[in-house]
Amino acid sequence: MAIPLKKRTYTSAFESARSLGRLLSPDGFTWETELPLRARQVPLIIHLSCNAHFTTFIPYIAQEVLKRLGLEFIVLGGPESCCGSIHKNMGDVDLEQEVATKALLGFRRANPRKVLSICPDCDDVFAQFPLPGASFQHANISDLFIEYLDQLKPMMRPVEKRVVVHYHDVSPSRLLDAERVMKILGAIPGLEILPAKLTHGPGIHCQTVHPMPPADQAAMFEEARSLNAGALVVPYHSCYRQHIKMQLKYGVETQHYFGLLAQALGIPFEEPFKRLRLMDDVDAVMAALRPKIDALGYEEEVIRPYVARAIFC
Amino acid sequence: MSEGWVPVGAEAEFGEKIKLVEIGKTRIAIARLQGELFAFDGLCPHVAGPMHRAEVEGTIVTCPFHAWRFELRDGGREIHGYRPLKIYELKVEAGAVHVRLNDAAAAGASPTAG
Repeated sequence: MAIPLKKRTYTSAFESARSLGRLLSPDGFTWETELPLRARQVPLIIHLSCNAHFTTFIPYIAQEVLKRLGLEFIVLGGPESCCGSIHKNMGDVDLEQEVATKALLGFRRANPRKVLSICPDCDDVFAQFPLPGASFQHANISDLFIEYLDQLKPMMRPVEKRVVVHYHDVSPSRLLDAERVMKILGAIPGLEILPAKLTHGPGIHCQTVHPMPPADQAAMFEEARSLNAGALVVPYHSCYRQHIKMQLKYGVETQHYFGLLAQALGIPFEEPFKRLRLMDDVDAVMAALRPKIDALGYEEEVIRPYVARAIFC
Repeated sequence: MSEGWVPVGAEAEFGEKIKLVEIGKTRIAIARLQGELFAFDGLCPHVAGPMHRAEVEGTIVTCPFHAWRFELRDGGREIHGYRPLKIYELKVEAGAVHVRLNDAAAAGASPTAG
């Protein structure tokens, strides 16, 4: 069902993240939007990017993995520490740098060892505008999982699944992510990674700026099905968002690699975005969300375009 | 200038587009929204985002940095519960708009429009 969308604005971009983040977040997952004083000297920050709010089960799993490792961390994010990529994509490149710098200055207040991003856009924008004298390293969160992989391995139990792995390699940072994802997946006992040839994605990630062309997407899932794969494993939340719907046609599930890591580590999680998208009906999704919309005091007519844009992408 | 009132321009200069006025080191955003003139802090109370580039919906102004949203008719209340936006008293006398600053900010100030 087509939903008329308003012109994209900062208001709609950030408000959709805020409201869907609250509507779709698992119980037990919270995040700071501004660094409180107690955050000083926190060694690790999981940075929750704006669009990752639509799939908060991903940072939730990251949080649970860090708990299993006994690491001290905070989850920080929301529009309040946007990396600036939304401004870049809206054409306000002058604001992009200012916003990125504000976020980095905020991180610095906590004097962390590492700031860990979920999102490749954040990785790239923060790398583009490094903070002079910053004492922390900024990295994609896969970096930390690799750092602790030897500690994670003994905690893993078999995940009997045949998968193909989707990846991006447009830049050295994306290539590094792809290598890390393969290494993490390779550590999961029972997981069979199939030799797919058509899982290469365009740009730095799918969906928003460089969505995978429909013909390529179809070929990727055709191949996955022909290999009898149970899942297409993706590295980024944006790829997850674009490819989930293909399960309806091809019967191949789309799974973020954190999901497989969580299964291996026995971390229970739910995927509300996937559950809602596979309903394949905006009205049905709105009906499913209605109790929580009411509980949070949102207006249905405000939420509906956000659902249409963010979930039915 | 008396009791902190500072003239910032002719009333006709201020329309629906938010205009930035600098008075000394103080930045004030001024706009006529839904027929009413408002003067408010030119910098967002979050991390000093440029409020003259705010998106406007009725009398709600939204900072372009991180979309903190302020209801000008409700004292600058931030609608998510964050810190409010400072609202300046404003009056129109003989076709000129005056904004009330504290005495220190007003002393010796001569406004420039941006």
